[in-house]
This record gives sequence, C-alpha cells and structure tokens, in this order.
Amino acid sequence: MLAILSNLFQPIVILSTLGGVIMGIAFGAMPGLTSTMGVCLLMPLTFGMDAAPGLLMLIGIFCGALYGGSITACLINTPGTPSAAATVLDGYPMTLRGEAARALGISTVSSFAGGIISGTVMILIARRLAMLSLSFSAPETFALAFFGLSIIASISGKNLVKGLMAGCMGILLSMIGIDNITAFTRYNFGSVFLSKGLSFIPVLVGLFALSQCFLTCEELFVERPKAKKMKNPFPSKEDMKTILPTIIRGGLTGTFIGIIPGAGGDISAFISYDMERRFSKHPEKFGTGIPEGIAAPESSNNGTTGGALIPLLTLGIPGDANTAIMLGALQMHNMTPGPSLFLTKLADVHTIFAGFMLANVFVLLLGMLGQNMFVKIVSVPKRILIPVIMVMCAVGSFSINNNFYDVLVMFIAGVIGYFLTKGGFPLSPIVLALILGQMCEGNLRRSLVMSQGGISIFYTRPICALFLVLGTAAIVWPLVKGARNYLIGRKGGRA
Amino acid sequence: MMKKVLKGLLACAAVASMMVSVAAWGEELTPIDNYPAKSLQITVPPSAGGGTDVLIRAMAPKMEEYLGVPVTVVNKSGGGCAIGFAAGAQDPNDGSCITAGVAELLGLPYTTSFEYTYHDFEPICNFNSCYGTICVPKNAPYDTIEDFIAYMQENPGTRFANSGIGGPWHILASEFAEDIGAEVVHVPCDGGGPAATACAGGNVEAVNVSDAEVKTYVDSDLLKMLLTFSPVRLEGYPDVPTAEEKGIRGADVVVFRGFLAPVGTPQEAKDAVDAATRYALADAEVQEFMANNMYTNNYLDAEGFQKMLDEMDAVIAEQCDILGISNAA
Repeated sequence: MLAILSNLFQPIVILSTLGGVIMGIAFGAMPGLTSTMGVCLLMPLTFGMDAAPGLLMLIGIFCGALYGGSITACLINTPGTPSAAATVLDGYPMTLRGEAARALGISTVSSFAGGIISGTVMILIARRLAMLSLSFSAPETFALAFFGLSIIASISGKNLVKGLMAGCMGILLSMIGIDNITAFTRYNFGSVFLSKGLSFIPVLVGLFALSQCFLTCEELFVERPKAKKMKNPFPSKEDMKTILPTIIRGGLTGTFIGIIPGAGGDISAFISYDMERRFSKHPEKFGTGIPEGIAAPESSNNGTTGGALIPLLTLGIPGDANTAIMLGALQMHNMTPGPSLFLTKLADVHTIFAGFMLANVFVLLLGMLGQNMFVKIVSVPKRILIPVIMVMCAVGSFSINNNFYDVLVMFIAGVIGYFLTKGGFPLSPIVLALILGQMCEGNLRRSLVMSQGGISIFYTRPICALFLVLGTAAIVWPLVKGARNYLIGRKGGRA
Repeated sequence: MMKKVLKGLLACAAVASMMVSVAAWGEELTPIDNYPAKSLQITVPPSAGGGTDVLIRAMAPKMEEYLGVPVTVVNKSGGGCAIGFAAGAQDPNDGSCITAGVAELLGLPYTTSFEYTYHDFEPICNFNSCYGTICVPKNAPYDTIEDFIAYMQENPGTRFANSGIGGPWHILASEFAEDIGAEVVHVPCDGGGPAATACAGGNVEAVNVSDAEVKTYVDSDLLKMLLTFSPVRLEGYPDVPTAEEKGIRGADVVVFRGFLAPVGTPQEAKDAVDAATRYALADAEVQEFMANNMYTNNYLDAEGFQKMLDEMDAVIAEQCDILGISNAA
C-alpha cells in the first residue's frame, strides 16, 4: 500500500494526471473535439514518459473529456462530446432558469462519483467481470441496441409521435453508406463521400449547436436571466439527497455498459436517463431541468471509464475507441495487457488504479474551481457568443477528418435541426437512433450470419434474451397501462 | 489547445532530431540539398492516430532531415480512405505531394463507385506490411493447421470473422477457403479487434486478421494461432508455421503501407523520397519505435511494390467476384 502511494505521489505522476484531466476537460468542452481525438493527439507525447505517468495522462484525458462535454451541454445547449448528448435534456432548461451554476455543480459531482464508483468496481472485481466482455457478441449487442432504441419514448418530450418520427429519421440516416454484410451501397447518391456513411460528430454538432445558434439569433435582443453566482459551488443538501441514489445507479450502469465492447458513454448516458425517468415518482418533470436528469447521464458516462478499462487491462480487449488507443500505448511501454500483466507488472497496475481515482478527484477539484469561470459563458452577450460558437462548430467538424465535406454535413444538419425544432420535433431521438441504428442493424444481421439464418440464437443466449424481453416490455408496458387506464376510465364513467 | 499540442510535438521532434545522430546500416545515406520541390506533403487517408498515421509521423522528421525541405503529414480521412486517395490522386505532380498507400486503395474501386485506382498513382516504395493469421479459440479441438483444414473440409459452413466486408482479411479468408476447397461463412465485424473478440468468445470458429490485432488475445490465452501468412515465421511466435511452408495460398494478401506519388511525378523526386524512406528506416530511434509498436520493416523498392500491388489487385478482383460483393460496373 505504501509502495503504491509513494509511486503515485511522485510529482511527474501527479502532474501528468492533472495535465491530462485539464486537457481532457478542454477537449470535451469544445464541440467537435472528443476524448478520442485528445487521446490520439497526446499519445505521442507519452512515448517519452514512463509507463505509469504516460498512461495516467491518457486516462486523465479520458475522464476529463467525459466531464467536459457536460459544461457546454448545460450552458449553451451544445453537447461537447456525444456522451453529453443526454445531459442537454435537463441541463440546458436548468440554465435557462438562471441556475447554470447549480447545473454545473450537479454535473461535476455526478461525474466525479460515477468515475469513483466504476473505479471501485474495477479495483475490486475487475478480473471476475472481465469475462463478461467475451460473452457479449453480435446477438447480445443487437439486443442491447434494441433495448436502447426503446428509450426514444423517454426522450421524446411532450409529443411522442414526433419523437418516434425523429427516431425513424435517425435510423434512416444511420443506413447511409456501404452495408456491412453484403457491401451494397445505400443512399449515397453516387457520392464517394457518403459511401462509408455520415460522420457522427458533424451531425451532432450541427443538430444541437448550429441550430441553437440560429434559434438564438431570433431572440438576439431578449436577455436571458443572469446566472446566479453561487458562493459554494457544491450542490445544496437537498440536491445531494435527490441525486445520491441516481448517481449510484448511474455509476453502476455506466460501469456495466463500459465493459461491453463497442458500447460507450453515449449509450450508457441515455440508458441511465431513461432508467431514472421510468423509476421516478415524477417522470413528467424530466426534461424541465431537474437534478436527476443531469446526474443520471453524467454519473453514467463517467462510469464507463472504469468499465472500459476492465477488459483492456485484464484481457487486452478494448471496451471503446479510447481504450483501443490506450492498448497501443500499453504495448508501447511493454505492458502487454492480459492476465500476465497482473503477475509481472503488479506495481504499475496498482499505480494505474490509484491514479485513476486521483484523476477523478482532479475532475471534482477542477470542476469546482472552474465553475464560476465556466458560468460566465452564459453572461457573454449573445451577439458575441453566437459567432464564436459558429466558428467553433465549423472548426470542430473540419478537424475530425480535415475535410470540408464534414463541415457541409454539419451545416445541413444545423439547418434541418432548426426547422425540426421550430416544428416541435425533439432532436435527441435522432441522435440516439443514429448511434444505435447501425449497431442494431449490423449486429442483427451479423447474428443471423453466425446462426446461418436460425433465430434460436436470440432466445437460447440468456443475456440476449434478457435484453430483448426488457426492450419489448419497455415498448409494450406503456400501451398496456394506457389501455388499462382507458378501460378503468370507461367503467368509472358508466357507474 | 490543438495549436499548443502541435507546437509541443514539433518542439519535441525538433529537439530529438538535433540530438540523435544517424546510425545508418548497410548503406551510407547522406542528406541531400537538391530536392526538386520546396516542401513535401504526405497525405494520410486512414484516420488520424491510427497505425499508418502514427508510423508516418514517427518517420517524417527523419525524412525531413534527409530531404532538407519541410515534410508535413496531413490527415485526410473519411469515406473509408476514399477522400484521402481522391485528394492524393489530384495533387500536383511536381514532387511536392505524396500519398500514403494502404491496402484500402485496392479494395475501394471494387466495393464502391470510387473512380480512382492504384493506376492513378506511381509507387515509390513500401515500408511496412502486415500479414493475416489463422486463429481459433483456445479450447478448440484442433491444434495444428492440418487438423483445422480437415475439420473445415468435413464441416461446410465454418465461420470466419473478418475485420469488415470487402477488406483484405475478408479477401484472404475467401482465398484460403477456395485454396483448400472448403465452404466457409464470412462474418464481417467492425474492425480486427471485434473480430478477434467474437472468436475468443467462441461465437465463430476462426478469425484471420493480422498478428498485431490478435497478439493480446493469443498472449492472454484466449486464442491460439495455427498459421501465419507472413513469408517468414513471426518473431514472437516461432512455432507457428507459415502458409508458404504448408503450401497454402494467401501470402499475396498484404496490408501494406507505402508511399505513392501522383502520376507524372519526376523520377528524381521519387528516388529522393525512396532514399529518404530508407534513411528513416535505418534510424535507431525509428527502429526502436517500430520494434516497440510491432511494426516490421518490409521495405520494397518501386518495382517490388508495383509487383505486390498487381498481384494483390488480381486476387481482390477474383475474390470479390466469387464473394459477389463487386459493385464496380
């Protein structure tokens, strides 16, 4: 224990973790720049370092970026990363009420706690949980995506029909490009640029950030309520009491989703949001800016960090794109992940575990310290803020692949997003369906290739069957409830 | 932020190149001062931070040292490399621009309506290649490639996971199956890692992606490697036989990394870039980087590279037809 602490408290280890978290928050907060990009760009810098500080810098970026995305999500209705797309739902309405500082406080604490929960799970039972990632194959991933699509109902806001329409739009958009099983090109209109499908981030940035800029232009001279300054950046006692159970559930859900290869913070945030809404005593208040609506996605997306590291360290299987790059970094430092890592490099593994916790503490500290500074964004006059955001949207979209085609996609998505919002269509279902559509379709068909056409593959595998039942129940249950209420109402009317 | 990071990287690179003297092996290459263009831009079509990008960025400072002109690496990714190749083919052919040539270039014209082929470029040299393997789950009943081939021949419909439809490993699995006369089912996954995971979990019978992609799985006892398509035995797995030893086809499907120039680039410039590549490959620092990251040095000169491209293109044309995934009109 002492040895771990003395390893951890070397200045270089602490500094590189802190540096990673700061850069992560910056990358996360900028629309278009993601944690994956940050980890990519910074990886060459870690080559010259020792294994532990190098990896902790990358882990710091990973944790920081997942938190950073929520800052812009809460303040300017623009998810800085896909993982923060669900945070917009309640974070922005709270800011509109002038409670920006409260929203950020909740988000900071939830992110911190989500990370710590997943870290604890990782340290305690990493090796037993690792095998879970192997039992997740195409049928299970399909079932999870199917279950995820049922969430559309929860994030549709007031108008369920329009939410479903938006969801279908997202699924259609996800079908653009070469189909992964037969290599047939769909909806590309002869363009090579569309042959591998739409890039996700430009669509996200356009739908949320750019359309919001257009909307704000209309009310350029109406001033928003000034953000109240808070002396104590920590959430109030009442808020803490409300969000504590939410955070624990979110953190654990996030850890679980993180372990699954191919599923990350974006999906887990939506699933946690949906779960909280379903089990809440006041589901109708979700979407109006309530603490649970911020705490659920934020604890959940930071929960995926520890989850994704579990199969990476124990089996060498990356849980998402960030950990896939970290796999390269591990090998670079002669730390081949797998069971042998825990035998040969135990000291380094322990330092990484301890440093992971430290990174989350830094997220909390930086979030609290920076809060009043972040909140100032809200009071920047809109005629200055909007052009800045627009430029950031374009630069962010361009920097993903260094091509203007993505900027064009972003711009079109922005215009469409503007008109959809005007027509009362919720935007989150489009994003959710775009994330899940391909995952759902691709894995359904991959499962059928594996089973050579037999459908028993879906009900003979327990995890797969469980998610399919849950998904079906989530869709059917509200109908049953509605029918029952209708029948009871009629009986009551007759009596 | 980005600028700061880039500045930092540039500073690191500059310091490193000043400090390290070059230990060339084999031949003596001395930096030149008469490169025909004022700068060299390397377009990288695969995604930033990927294997190709990272390797080229490690080599670029050394190439700059040799050529005596600024060498910049530009990522133009998207569209499954189509965007980068389309841009690279239209670059000026005065020696100021080259493109990183990777295996996707050969597959694109067959599976999509991509209008450029490798004939729109002139090969300069190849510097790194990956070859496929045949891996099966650890608890599978066969321990040698012969046993597995016998199993495949008796059980039509053996499932092979690959890294994506129409990709090199899909082509390789098809060629392998045709060669041994077995009928297989191809399961396209979203990349080499997920394909290996599908096999490790016992959801498919075999996976045939590169040794770099299955290394951690083999080392953590999830998969066992029965065969490599590399022309020589793999350093880390000296007991695994090569396809050539067993008389099996498939060494002609290569995930190569080389440099291509736009058609009409002066021979003088191509030769200089070729020499700069050899200069970088001979550098101690680059060699250490490549060893640590499991990149092998598979240098081929322009002629050898052209031959490899021609051979692989023929295999892709043949297998895309058999697989029925050819979209080319």
